[in-house]
Amino acid sequence: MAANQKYATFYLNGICFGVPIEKVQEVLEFQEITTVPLSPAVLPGIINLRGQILTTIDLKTRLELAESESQGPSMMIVVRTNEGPMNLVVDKIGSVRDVDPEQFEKPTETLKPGVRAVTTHVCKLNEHLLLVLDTEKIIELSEEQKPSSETRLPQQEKECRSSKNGSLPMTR
Amino acid sequence: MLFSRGSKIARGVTVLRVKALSMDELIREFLQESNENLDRLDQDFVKWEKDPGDLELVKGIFRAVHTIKGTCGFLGFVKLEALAHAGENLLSLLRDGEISLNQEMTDALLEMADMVREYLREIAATGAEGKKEAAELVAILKRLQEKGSGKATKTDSGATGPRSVPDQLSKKADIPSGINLAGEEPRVEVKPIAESRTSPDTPKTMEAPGHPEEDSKEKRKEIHNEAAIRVDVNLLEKQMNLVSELVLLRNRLLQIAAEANERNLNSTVHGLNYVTSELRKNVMKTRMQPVSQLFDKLPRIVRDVSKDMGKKIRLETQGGNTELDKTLLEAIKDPVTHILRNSIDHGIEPPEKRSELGKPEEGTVRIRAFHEGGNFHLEIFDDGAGIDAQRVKEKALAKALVTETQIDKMTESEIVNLIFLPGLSTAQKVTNVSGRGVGMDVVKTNIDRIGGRAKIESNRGQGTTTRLEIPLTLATIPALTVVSGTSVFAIPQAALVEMIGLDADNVKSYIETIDGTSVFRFRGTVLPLLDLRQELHLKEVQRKNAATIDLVVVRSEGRQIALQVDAVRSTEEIVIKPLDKRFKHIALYSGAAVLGDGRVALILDIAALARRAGMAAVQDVRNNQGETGQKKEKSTLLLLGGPDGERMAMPLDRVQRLEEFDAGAKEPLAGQFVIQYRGEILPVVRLTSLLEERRRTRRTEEGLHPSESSQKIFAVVVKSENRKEVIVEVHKILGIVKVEIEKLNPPSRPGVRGTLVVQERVTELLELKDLLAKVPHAMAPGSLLTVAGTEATHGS
Repeated sequence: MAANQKYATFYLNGICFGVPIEKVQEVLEFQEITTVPLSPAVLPGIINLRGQILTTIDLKTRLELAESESQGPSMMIVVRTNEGPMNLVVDKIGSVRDVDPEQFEKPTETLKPGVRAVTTHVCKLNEHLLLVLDTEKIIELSEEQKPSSETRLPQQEKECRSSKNGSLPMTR
Repeated sequence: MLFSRGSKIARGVTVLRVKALSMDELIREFLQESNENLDRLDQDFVKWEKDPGDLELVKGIFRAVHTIKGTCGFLGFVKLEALAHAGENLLSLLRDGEISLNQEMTDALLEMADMVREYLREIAATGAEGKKEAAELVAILKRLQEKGSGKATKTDSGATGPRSVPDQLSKKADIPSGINLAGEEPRVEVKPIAESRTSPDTPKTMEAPGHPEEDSKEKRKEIHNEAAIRVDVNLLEKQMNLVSELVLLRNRLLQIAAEANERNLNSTVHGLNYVTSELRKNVMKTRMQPVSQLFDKLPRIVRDVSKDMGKKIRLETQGGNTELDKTLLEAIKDPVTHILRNSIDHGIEPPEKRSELGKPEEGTVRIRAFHEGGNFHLEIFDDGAGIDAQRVKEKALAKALVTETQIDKMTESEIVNLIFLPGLSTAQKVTNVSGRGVGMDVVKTNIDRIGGRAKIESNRGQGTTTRLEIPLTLATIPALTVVSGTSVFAIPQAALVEMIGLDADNVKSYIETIDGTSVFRFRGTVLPLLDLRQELHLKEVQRKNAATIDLVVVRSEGRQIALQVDAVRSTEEIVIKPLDKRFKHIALYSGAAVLGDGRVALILDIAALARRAGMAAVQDVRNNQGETGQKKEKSTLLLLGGPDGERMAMPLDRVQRLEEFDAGAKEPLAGQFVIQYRGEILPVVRLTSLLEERRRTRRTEEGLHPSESSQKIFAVVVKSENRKEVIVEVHKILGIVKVEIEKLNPPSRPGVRGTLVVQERVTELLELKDLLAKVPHAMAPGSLLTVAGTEATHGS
């Protein structure tokens, strides 16, 4: 029988999520994010973690969850990934949960597609469900969240705008 | 230097680790070691040639070749092994004193080194030896071996008749050897300057043969090799990053300590401050390499080039232990080599001419490295003929790189420095070595790229000095930090031209905005003006001082643009950190940096920003100044868009201003429209009505739209032939481009000079003279008829 797994849990819109504890580098109080202009909402910007520049992913946007219903400041979880540490913004930090693998279940069909895409399995805990996320899949942005350089050209937008009011009255 | 001396021991390590290493790693290590060995070989050969009696040197060379042979045998590189083996055999005879060295042998051995290097390159690229055959060279080496042992003589140098080194081999080697047959042999002497008494103040220069202290030091180095280790450059990089972090933390702690004002804390923090600074200095040092690494490669080049040119050159180097960042050292290698070749090729005169001039037959090239003002300096001096400013002048004029008026204002030194322009070479004849008109401009480009400067000083008949000034490290770069919206951005100093603050009074006369496209008048030129906030879609934040505008004029790829920012912060030394690939598509940032106060700034990529703003690349500004002398016409055009998305352009020099009016500003007067403009009443004409339309029907439909007073009118104020100003109403102003008009396609309709392609779009170049001829000059009755008449002609 496999040994118990430890998961660091956190909350988004009151739903309990978890990532394997060994994937977590550290948990941070919310700190100022340096916005990267023209980047999509899922990538609000970068933070300075002791001199290291970390890319920040807004997990709620990533999982296509509704806009915040949380109170108080968000928290940050720095996870270890194949591409180095990444910073995830979450509503609230939970605790470390010991989970018996027997409790694992496959993600149910009823999960929203945004959540299901990155969920490896679901655990029924006593009080609620725990959705275990795959950190590697989280940082791999889904197609529609990937910013396309085409749509964001300021020049093009400028032209669009000017063509809107571009039909000038005639002189005659 | 440190490492290559220890190559023998390093090989021992390799062998011990064989089992643990994969084949790839093994080959990589073999390549690295062998290249180091070869570099050393080059200089040792040259020294040896000068002092054939130096047995230690021969032993060293033998060992190096032996090592290469042994390892490649082990790795299964058969051809390479055979070549090295032949060389080794010849060397062993030389080492044992059975034969003595002559010119022919040195040539063959050097050729062997070149050949081995080629094989190594092939192996590095493909993993295999490739098809190249070295059989002929092997045969030559064998023949020399037999002949040498047959009649060991010291006097048969160069007198063995025509060389049999095949042309093909000579060609492969960069500089053909064996061309200089019988006759005077060029001599290359490499002397440490300490010996040459010319400048007794320099402590150490290059390792030279027969320098007892040096030799024993080297030996010691080999024995105590444990004192030096190979370190992965990445590891150093990581260390450097950690130290940068430490420095930032220290800065913050210093601030906290200053606020807390507690004695114990203060003294501890000061201790930490000191240690951190030292640590930083030391870690920076690990990336620093003595410039002697580069100097060591020069004697071979001097030997080959001077031999080729039949010149006698003495190379003196000074300041070999001056240190420079590893990457920078690598970057100046080619420029320095090029300057050196230039000096030998066209700087120093042939021996006969020199003795005629009363100069010593032997020319001197002196290279000096030193630190000054926080920069690394390198001077390359030759006592040759100097640069003929007159000829540079003629060449520059002939090639239309400058105009006559420009050159008249130049000092002699400025003229000499024109040789950094592309396409300029003063060499009378093109040689194998230099004079092809490429070169000095490449030197300049390479030095510019690493943020350095190159300058030439020349005294006619006395010689030439090329000075290079290079920043010590690229780890940090100076940058200007600016604020836009709520964000801080960094602009690398290298891209910075000027900062300008405009107060309310000046804004109007310097900046013209129309339809979102702005221009800034900057010293007689018109620069595109971008509002950083608008470009980056930053949220509107109330500008503190709306009356003044802060502009930063930046340059990139030869074009200049003005950036409007909210505030200029300060200049800082920043450490560039790469941005996540997820941000790459935005392509406006070249990285990020942590500032002194802990904030993060994005580093703006000026080139991308300018490109993004939809501007066509402009040729080098430098070339623009010489427009008149050029065959090609380079014009600045104002790009206009028509109602159907068609593009038109007019020369910017005819444009007085760009304006935006309320539609209500247009007043009917005597059958036409006028606008009150700066105390004058100017006629307004629509560009479309001046141009004959092909699809008249559609335009008339459009013309039926009711005029809305809320609409803006975009207009270009132009001067007509009779110096009267006319307001031309246009559909859309797209921007300003600089283009070289090579050829115009035939005009599409009257009033158009021709069509051309601008920014990959077909664009009509308007003929203002013709167009404005249709505008009524005087506001006489009946002038509307003229306009209407224009349209009527179309119908007929």
